[in-house]
Amino acid sequence: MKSKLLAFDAFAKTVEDARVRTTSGGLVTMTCLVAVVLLILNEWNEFNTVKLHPEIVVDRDRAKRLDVNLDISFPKLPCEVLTLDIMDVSGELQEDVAKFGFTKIRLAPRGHEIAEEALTMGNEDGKDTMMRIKGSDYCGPCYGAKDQSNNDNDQVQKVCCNSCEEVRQAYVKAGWAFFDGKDVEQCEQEGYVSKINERLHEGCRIKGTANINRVAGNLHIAPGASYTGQFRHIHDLSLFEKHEHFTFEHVINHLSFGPDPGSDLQNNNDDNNIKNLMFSTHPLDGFKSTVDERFKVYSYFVKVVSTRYEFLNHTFLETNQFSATKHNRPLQGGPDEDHKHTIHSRGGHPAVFFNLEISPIKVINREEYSNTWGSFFLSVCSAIGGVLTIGAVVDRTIYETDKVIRSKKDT
Amino acid sequence: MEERRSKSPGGIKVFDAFPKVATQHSVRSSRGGSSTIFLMIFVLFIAYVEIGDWFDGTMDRNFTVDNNGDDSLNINIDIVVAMPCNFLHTNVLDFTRDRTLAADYLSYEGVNFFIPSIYLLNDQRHVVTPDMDEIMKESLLAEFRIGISDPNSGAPACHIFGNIPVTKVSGDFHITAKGYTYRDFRSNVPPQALNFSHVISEFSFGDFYPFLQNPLDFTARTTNANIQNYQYFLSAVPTLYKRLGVEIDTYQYASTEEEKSFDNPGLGMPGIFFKYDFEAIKLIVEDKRISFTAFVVRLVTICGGLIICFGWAYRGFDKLIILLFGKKVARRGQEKAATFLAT
Repeated sequence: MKSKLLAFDAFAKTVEDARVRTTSGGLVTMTCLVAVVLLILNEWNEFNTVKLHPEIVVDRDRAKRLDVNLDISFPKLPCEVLTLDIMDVSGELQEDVAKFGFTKIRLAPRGHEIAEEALTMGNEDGKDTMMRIKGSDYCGPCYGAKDQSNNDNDQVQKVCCNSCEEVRQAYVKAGWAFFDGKDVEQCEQEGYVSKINERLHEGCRIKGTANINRVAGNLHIAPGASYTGQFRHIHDLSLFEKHEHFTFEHVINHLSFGPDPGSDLQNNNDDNNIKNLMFSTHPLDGFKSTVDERFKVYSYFVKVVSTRYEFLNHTFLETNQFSATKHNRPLQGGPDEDHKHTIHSRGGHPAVFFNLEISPIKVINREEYSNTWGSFFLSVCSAIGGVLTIGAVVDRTIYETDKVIRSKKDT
Repeated sequence: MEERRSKSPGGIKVFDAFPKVATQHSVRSSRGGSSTIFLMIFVLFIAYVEIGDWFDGTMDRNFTVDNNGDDSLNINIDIVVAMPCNFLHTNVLDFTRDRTLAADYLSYEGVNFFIPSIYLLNDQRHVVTPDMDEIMKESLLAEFRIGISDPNSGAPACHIFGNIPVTKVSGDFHITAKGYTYRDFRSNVPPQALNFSHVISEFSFGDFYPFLQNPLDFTARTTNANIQNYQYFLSAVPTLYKRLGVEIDTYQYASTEEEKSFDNPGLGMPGIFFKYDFEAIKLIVEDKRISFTAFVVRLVTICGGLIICFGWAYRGFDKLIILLFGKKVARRGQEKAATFLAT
């Protein structure tokens, strides 16, 4: 039995007597060991590196909605003047969303924040103010913006403008200039006029999140109350036009779609990946538009690509990346300043537009180790085996050469 | 002298892990010698191939969302239209509602209309996605010659070439006849003079690399109809080629086309329209290679493996010879137990 096994011995050993040890052999062995250790260390490092591996799929999610996180500062426009509207191609319109998911923060002329208020145009309790003063059967005048001539005959369906806001809306609808509401009884009483005039030199920061339909559309910030009728969407620009220091210069503090990866990533320790990720989810952050011209339309053409990050700790993050193209044009149209042969179109509102487009492609960024355990062991084994084999050849060569040289000398 | 050395194992010698057999205990043969030489040549050859492969790298296709912050780019165009230059209008209209008077950027040159034989006439181009080597070879940046603008020479065709800066949003570059599509009170081209047959030598986005092949390059369309409408729908994908530190940032595009002819200019717009849009995804084609240390490991493993396998094969072969022809044949060419070297 034993002798049978012997025949299979692939690791036949040389008898100790027949073995020769040489100094050169020792040196080669040590070099090999150092090389092996270095290679293994390197393999270990490689085994531990985390790579972000992108993958493209078609976005098959249905009926998904899109969160828009916007934080934008207008140093030269007070909050009272600004309106933020979101419109999309499906016909959904969120007028003055600044009233809902957004807060407006008043900025002092120097730039620091004065007060944060979930602010609305006019007063929330505007209705009550007039009712309190004039009694519950008060029916305010609309100053001709609405037809009130029938009020005396029809006591049930009275047309009234009971608050400053209602008068304002009536004015926009009629296409009239409202300015600051001066001499409008409701606004004077509510304090709207004095408030707006006090704050003329303030700036405004709009910050918040809107949940919109995941279809192409636009989000714009324009001066004055807006009204959407059939085939048209208008803003009341009267106040903006009246005050010459109002400009649409702005700073985009933040624009992203979907959850912000920054906050979730504290547990992840790969800085490089985070930087990449931060950049690709909000590339416009910190962009300053300082063109000091009043009647300009600033447009950002944004293509949103939904993205899923899959982290090593099996957490997922469903968010969006986007690419953006910046553009601005003066309202009066005409040749561009830099490109003389480009002629801008005429008309529109002074505003900041974010035109959204949705890409059908979804990117899955998966964090993964570049090596598996198996391949790591394989590399380690091959490093050891390979180096030792080569070492053996080198050693043998040195030995033989040495021998030949010695024998030549001896003879 | 071997005895001398083996008797005193000390110092670094102790570490010698490689078993060497004293010459008097080993036998050598001429067959073994030639095999060793053959093995060495083979190992060197394999190493050479491996090093070459490593330098070449492998093509890796990656992608990111395109957000390098570029707001504008060039359209490079070189086209011959079978109409005199003074009949033609070139414009870009895009999503920003800007109109670019392309004529002011482009050069016009009166030429004769002819289609070189290598151009594909009224036919879909056989599209080949070029490989990295080709792209690197042909990535020669260039500029159009400028200053030669001789539009009114009365030549029957017009050669239009140059770069148009456009905003990076979807848009439409079109070549139309004066008096059609845009209102023009000064000149009105008679309908029978219209002929939108054209030869495209270059149509690309981004930096101008004239030798990079694009789907529309070297194509031609001819028509007998006067009121002819050609539409090219182009979808441009930003592409970055990277190799050994060289980066080529350009655009590839897919093109579909449609042509229509009308009897009456009131029914449709005669002209050549290039409607383009940009994808949000950027393609990165890069040649990747394993790290140097990984490469060394690989090389060493392959060589070591080869040597070991060869050793086994040699021994097996030896055994086979003994089995087939007996020990005598196997020992042919083998040195005597004690050679003059070992004395």
